[in-house]
Amino acid sequence: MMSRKGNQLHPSSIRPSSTTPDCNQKRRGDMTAPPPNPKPEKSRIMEMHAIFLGHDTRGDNKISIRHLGHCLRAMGATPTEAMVSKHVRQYEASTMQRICFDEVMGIYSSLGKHGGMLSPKKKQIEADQFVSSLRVFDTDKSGWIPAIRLRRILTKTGECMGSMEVDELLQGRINKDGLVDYKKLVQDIIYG
Amino acid sequence: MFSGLIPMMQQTRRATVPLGGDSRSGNTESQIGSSKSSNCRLHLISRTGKLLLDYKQYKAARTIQNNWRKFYFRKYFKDLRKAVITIQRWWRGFSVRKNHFRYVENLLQKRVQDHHHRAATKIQALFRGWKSRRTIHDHSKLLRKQVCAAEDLLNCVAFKLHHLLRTFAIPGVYSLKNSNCMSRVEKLLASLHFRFHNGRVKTQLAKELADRGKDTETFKRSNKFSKVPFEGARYWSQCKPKCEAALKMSKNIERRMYRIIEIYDASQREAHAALVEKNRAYRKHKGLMQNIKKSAEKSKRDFCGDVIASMRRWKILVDNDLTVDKNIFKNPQNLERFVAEISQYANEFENCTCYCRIPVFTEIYCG
Repeated sequence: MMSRKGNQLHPSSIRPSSTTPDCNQKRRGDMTAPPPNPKPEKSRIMEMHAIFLGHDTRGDNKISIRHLGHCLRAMGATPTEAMVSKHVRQYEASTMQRICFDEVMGIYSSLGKHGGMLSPKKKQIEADQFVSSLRVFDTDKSGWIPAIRLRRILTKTGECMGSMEVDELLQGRINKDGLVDYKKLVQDIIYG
Repeated sequence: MFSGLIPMMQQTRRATVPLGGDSRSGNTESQIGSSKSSNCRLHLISRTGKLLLDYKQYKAARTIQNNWRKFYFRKYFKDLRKAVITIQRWWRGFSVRKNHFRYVENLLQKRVQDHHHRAATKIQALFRGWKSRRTIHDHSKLLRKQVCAAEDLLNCVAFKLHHLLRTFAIPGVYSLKNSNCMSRVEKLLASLHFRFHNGRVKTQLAKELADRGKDTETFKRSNKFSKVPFEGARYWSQCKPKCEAALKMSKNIERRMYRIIEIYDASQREAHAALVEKNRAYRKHKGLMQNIKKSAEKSKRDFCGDVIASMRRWKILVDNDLTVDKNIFKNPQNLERFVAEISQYANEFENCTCYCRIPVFTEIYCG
C-alpha cells in the first residue's frame, strides 16, 4: 500500500544560491536531526507494543521493514515518507528484513516533532502550520480550495499520494460548487 | 535610476537638430534651467561616455533582477513543496490510525478462515483416500492374494512329490545315500504336515462358513437395494485351494516318516544346544576382556603418583628405612612434615660437588 515515490529532492542536494551566512546557517540547521522526544510512560509503551504486535504477521515478535511506516503512524506519529524510507533503506542495506520493538521505539523517539501524541498547545501550533500550508494554495484567500486543484497538488507534487488515498481524503468534504473548506479539513484531521 | 536620462536625451536630440531650429531653444525658462545643468554635465562627460554608462547601468539592473527572480522563485517552490509534504504526512498518519481497527478485523477474519481451511483440507484428504481405497484399487488385498497363491503352490508341490516317493514311483533322490541329512522337500513336508494341518483345517472350515453367511445376507438384502457405486469384481475371495485332496491322503504315516521326524527333531535340538554353547563362550570372553580392562585401569597413575613412586626408590630413603605415604600430596602439611624429616639427611650432601657418594678408604695399601 506504499504510495508511488515522486521526485523527492534531498535538502543536501540543493546548493545554496548565495554566500550569505544567514542562509547557510539556516540550511545547516534544517539538516541536523531534531531533538528526541521525552520517554513516554509505561502504559503508553504497553499500548504501542500491542499495536506493534498487531502488525506482526509471522509470530516472531518482529515486523517487516515494509510495514514500518504503517506501524509508526498507528502508534501516533506523522512521519514524512522521506524519514520512513531513510530508515527502511538503512535496514535493507544491512540485509535486515525484520526489526524488533526496541528498534521501532528508537525510530519513534527520533522523529522529533513529527512523532508522539502532542500536547494541546503543540497541537494548535501544528494546526496553524497545517492551515498555512493549505493557505499557500488558496490564491484568492477565500478559505476554499477547488477539489480538482487539491487532488492535482496531492497526486503530482511532494511525496505523491495515490488516487484512492485522495478520494478517501476528499470524501464528504466537497460542496456542490466543487470547493473544499480546508479549515474544517484541518480540524477533522488533527483533532478527530 | 533612469531619471537622469531624460535631459540627456533632450540635449542629444537638440544637438542633432540643425541650426535652423534655434527658435525652439528659448521656449520656457524651466527648459533653459535643465539645459543649463545638462550643459554643465555635458562638459564633464562626453557622448560616448554617456552611452557606456547607460549600458553599464542596464547590465547591473539585469543582474540584480536575475538574482532576485532566482531567489524568489526558488524559495517559493521550496515552500510549496514543504506545504504539500505537510498535508500528505498528516493525512497518512490520520488515515492509518483511522483504519487500524478495520485492519485488525481483516487480519482476524483471515486467520480464522485459514484455520477452517486447513481443517477442511485435512478432512477432504482423509475422505479421498478412503474413497479411493474402497472403489478404485485396493493394493493390500492384492498382496494378500499373491502370498496365499504362493503358499498354496508350495504346499501342492510338496504333497505331490511326497505321494510319488511314498508309492516308490521315483527313487529316493531327495535324500543323500547312507546319511542322515534330509533334502529340502522332506524338511518342508516334516515342518508343514504336523504343524499346520490342524490349524489349516479349522481355518478352512471357519472361512467357508463365514463366506456362506455373508453371501446369504447379501442375497437377502439385494431384494431392497443395490450398492452404488459398483465396487468391481470380487476376485479375491472366489478361488479356493485345490490341494485339499492331498491333505486327506496323508493320514497313514509310515515307519520311514517316523524316522524322518525323529531325525529332524534331533537336529533341531542339536542346533539349539550349539546356540547355547556359543552364547556361553561369548559371555566368558566378555568377562575376560572386562577383567583385563579393569586391571589396566587400576595400574594407571597420574603425575603425583609417579612422583611418589620415584621417591620410594631414592637411595637415602632406602638406607634410612624411611617410608613415603600415599596421600603425601593431598595435604600440604604432610608434605612439610616429610621435608622437615628428610632435611637432616640431605644436609650431608651440601658440600658434595658430585651426585654420587665416593667411598672413603681409611688406609691406602701399596703393592
